[in-house]
Amino acid sequence: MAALEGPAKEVLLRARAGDRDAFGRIVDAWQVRIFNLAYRMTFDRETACDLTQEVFLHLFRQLDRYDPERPFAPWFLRVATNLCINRTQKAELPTISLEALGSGRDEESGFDPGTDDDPVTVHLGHQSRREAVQAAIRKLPAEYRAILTLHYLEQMPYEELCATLDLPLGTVKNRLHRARTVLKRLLEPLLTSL
Amino acid sequence: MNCPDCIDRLHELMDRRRVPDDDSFCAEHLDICAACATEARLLLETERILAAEPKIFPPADLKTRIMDRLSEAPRPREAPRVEWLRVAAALLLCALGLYGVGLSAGFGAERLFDPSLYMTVAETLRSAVSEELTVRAGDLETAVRAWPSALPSDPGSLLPDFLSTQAALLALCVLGTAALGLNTLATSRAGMRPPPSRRNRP
Repeated sequence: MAALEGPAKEVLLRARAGDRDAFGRIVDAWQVRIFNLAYRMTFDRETACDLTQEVFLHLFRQLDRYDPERPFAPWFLRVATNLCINRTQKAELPTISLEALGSGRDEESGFDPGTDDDPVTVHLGHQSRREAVQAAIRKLPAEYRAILTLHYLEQMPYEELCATLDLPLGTVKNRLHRARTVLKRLLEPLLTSL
Repeated sequence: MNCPDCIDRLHELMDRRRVPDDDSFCAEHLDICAACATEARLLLETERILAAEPKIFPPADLKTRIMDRLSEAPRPREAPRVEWLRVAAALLLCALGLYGVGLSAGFGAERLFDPSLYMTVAETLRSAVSEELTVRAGDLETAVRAWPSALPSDPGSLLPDFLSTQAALLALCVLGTAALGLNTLATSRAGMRPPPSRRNRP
């Protein structure tokens, strides 16, 4: 549960009362995690900075909705993840739609991660391997990027994913499996060339 | 074991829900199924890439940027929160009180939404000490005569009860509305939390 540790209750209460120094301590404790979440949703440092600022601004405005008797981390990560997903979706980055990935449809849709105009293939040609991986992740729907980030970066097990994403266990399992499977297909040209 | 079961087990392994020791069947299947073996290799490699993604550090001035933006934002409790539920409860209580006063004053339920009812109720109360009392006294006397056993020696003695019912209903209405209004005002000023059922919803 290390991923879900939160700031001291006293700091939270002061921040909720409008104490900016206390809020600054929350920023200190959380900015790296939130920036990493935002970065993996956008893969652009400046956009991730903007998104991180927006998350903390949103937190500042929404703190009065937080019940200090309950754990802070799942609540805040849920706020941050939802905001990141919404902003990423609004940015209209080219991704594979969840509809296209519906049960069995991605198998039937003929989606081919190795076509000539595919960013992964382009990156494989003249960019670094890491950029190719990032290009593949960036193609995933925002919900898939979020769950992979929380699972691998935040090292959240299913139970914490359920709490953070406010989803039932079955949906979390299914989404994680599908995210990994789709990413594997996107990375196949890179992986088979190793 | 068939191929889909094997791939499911691989995902479960990757999610650390299974220990490798209990996966001998999957290992046996991977030995004889080249497609699943390839799939397993690619999945495990994908997972390795995901797990190896390094932590990124934000720019040193990120906190300053955040705090600068906060200085432009209102304090969380500065914006008055209108507790619509409390206002609605006050209005409902007010309406019920007036309805009760209206009924006891002899107005029909069909006039509940008639604005003139409330004017009439107010007028009734204002003039309750004069001719209206006389009319009601007559009504009471007529009613009491229908049930002689209940007839008090002095029918006029019922009038104070009748008046006190109306006064109590009006007082309840006024006090309830005032209490809810003061409570709403105090809540918005002190920044009290909403009830638990509404908390922690992003």
